[in-house]
Amino acid sequence: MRGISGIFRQSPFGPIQEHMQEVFKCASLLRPLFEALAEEDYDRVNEIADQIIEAENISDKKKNKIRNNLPKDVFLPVSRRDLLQIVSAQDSIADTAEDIANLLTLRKTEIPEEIKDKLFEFLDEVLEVCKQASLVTDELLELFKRSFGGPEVEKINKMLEELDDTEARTERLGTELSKKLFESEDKIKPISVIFWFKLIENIGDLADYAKKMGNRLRILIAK
Amino acid sequence: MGIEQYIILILAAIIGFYMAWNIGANDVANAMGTCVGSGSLTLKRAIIIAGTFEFLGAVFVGAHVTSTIKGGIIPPESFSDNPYILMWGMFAALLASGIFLQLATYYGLPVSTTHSIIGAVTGFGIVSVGFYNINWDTIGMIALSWVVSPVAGAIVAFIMFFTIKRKILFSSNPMKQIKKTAPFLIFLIFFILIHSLLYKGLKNLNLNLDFNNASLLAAGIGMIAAGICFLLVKKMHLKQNEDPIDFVERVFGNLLIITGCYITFAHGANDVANAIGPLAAIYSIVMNKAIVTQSVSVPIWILILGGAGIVVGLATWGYRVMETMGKKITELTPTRGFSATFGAATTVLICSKMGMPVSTTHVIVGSIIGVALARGVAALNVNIIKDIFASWIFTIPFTAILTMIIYKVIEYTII
Repeated sequence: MRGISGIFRQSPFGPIQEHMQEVFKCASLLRPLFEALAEEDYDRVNEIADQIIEAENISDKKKNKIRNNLPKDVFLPVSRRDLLQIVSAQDSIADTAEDIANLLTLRKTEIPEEIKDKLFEFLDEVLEVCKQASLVTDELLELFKRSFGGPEVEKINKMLEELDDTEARTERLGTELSKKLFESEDKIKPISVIFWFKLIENIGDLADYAKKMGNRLRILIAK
Repeated sequence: MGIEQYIILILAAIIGFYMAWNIGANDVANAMGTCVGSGSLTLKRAIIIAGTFEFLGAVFVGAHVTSTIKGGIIPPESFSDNPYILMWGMFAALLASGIFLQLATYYGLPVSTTHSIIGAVTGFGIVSVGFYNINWDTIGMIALSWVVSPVAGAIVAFIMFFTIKRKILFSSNPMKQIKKTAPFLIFLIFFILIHSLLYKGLKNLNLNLDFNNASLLAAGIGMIAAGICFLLVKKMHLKQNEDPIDFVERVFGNLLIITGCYITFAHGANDVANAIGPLAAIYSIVMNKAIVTQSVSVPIWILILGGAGIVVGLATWGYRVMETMGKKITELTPTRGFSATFGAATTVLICSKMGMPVSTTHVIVGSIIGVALARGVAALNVNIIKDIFASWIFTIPFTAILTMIIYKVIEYTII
């Protein structure tokens, strides 16, 4: 008793949007995580790390649902490969946030005074890139409503340019931060230096994946 | 008329009604699913609209296709010695396709009512006049129309959505564009609909216009409808915080209701014949005690019976199919639903006027694919589409063989 309704599959656009919202929620928890770390409140660090891991789990489930709903025999208005790669890039953001949270629970780490201010500046800028990426995915439904053309495409392209600019800034900030870290290498424990070097790299990866997601979307629109 | 004839007629009417009931239960939901799914119509309203327009289409345009099924496949002259063979054959055909449709509806297979009756009548032809005496040319033409009609639906729907996209969705001022375009679309729908009613239609009301007069009158009525639409759309305003595209969809939601009337009208016109074509044949044999070779017009009570059967089928089973579909087709926004429904309705109506019994279900599937090809559908299940088209191959032998069996049983017990 379902008539011809079986020819429709669930739209992937809404779920991709929701997935990115969950991913962004996961990444933005990094801010309170580092704040707790700055206050050396390690119980709170563990607590927020758990929240991040949970948010990553939820977003993973959403990701799997999207992938299951995009088998080979589905006919889409856009390239299936591009869509799957957008989901992959989004997923990597959540994964990286989880990695960072995990790292911070491994070791009672202190934020070296020398890099503290710059670190927060860097983190905020990276989260800004993630936020911009999430705002771009928020346009996916609108893009579908417009049938992938018209002023909506221009709007998204403009947003993507901004995203690229912000990402470039985070790279600069990341390099400066690493330099600062190594400038003070004599004052900081060697293991801490390596630890923070790795963390800075991981935080930078977040922005990287957000940019990757934006690039995929650009290709998807251009086709 | 003797008592026997009355009994036969009543029996035939019951089976014809059963077949019409199945059409209402299985098919109508496919036609209206887009309207309910996009949220333009509540289930209750959809049922009322579908019931009304199915009935009108069946009664006013339905007679065209009826004659094709009745006389086209088997040469009626073959039965001049014993017309009752044809009568019982039509009984068997009706019963077989009714049973098949009920099974299909129950198991949720979107089969074609048209294909099932054509298969049934062909099956009867094979056991009665023999394989070589069937009008295979006619069947070939019908089969060809089954391939051509979904493609035609796809093309019309594609062009419609492509135009809507380019003119309205891509525009920087979609609100202004929709207000300009809506009256034109309304004109188009009313013109085709009214034209189909007037041109060679309404025979039963003795209102039979030629092509030019029908065009003129239809254009006139279309203009009036467009004018009313212009005034109504002019009054519509952007709600607070409403996206212009959502405004466009809201306008199309109203247009979609009109296409809902349009497609159910077309469906009634096309598909009622599947039930009453054989019934009309039985009627003319009972009344004349012989085969009438020249075409006779179908009495209006038979058309009404068919229309009523569809409405009852819709009210008893069809609404459940429609309800499920409404929940499942939520991805289809009014602009897309409008394009698909318009494409399907136009194709089905034109085919009906040409006397070609096409499958409404398959034309709708074709039209939805057309919209999808214009990048209008979020995700289509290609596998199910293959299944639906595979039912072409499955339906015909099934109803043909079932008819043969039923006919043989009747032959041994009654004739």
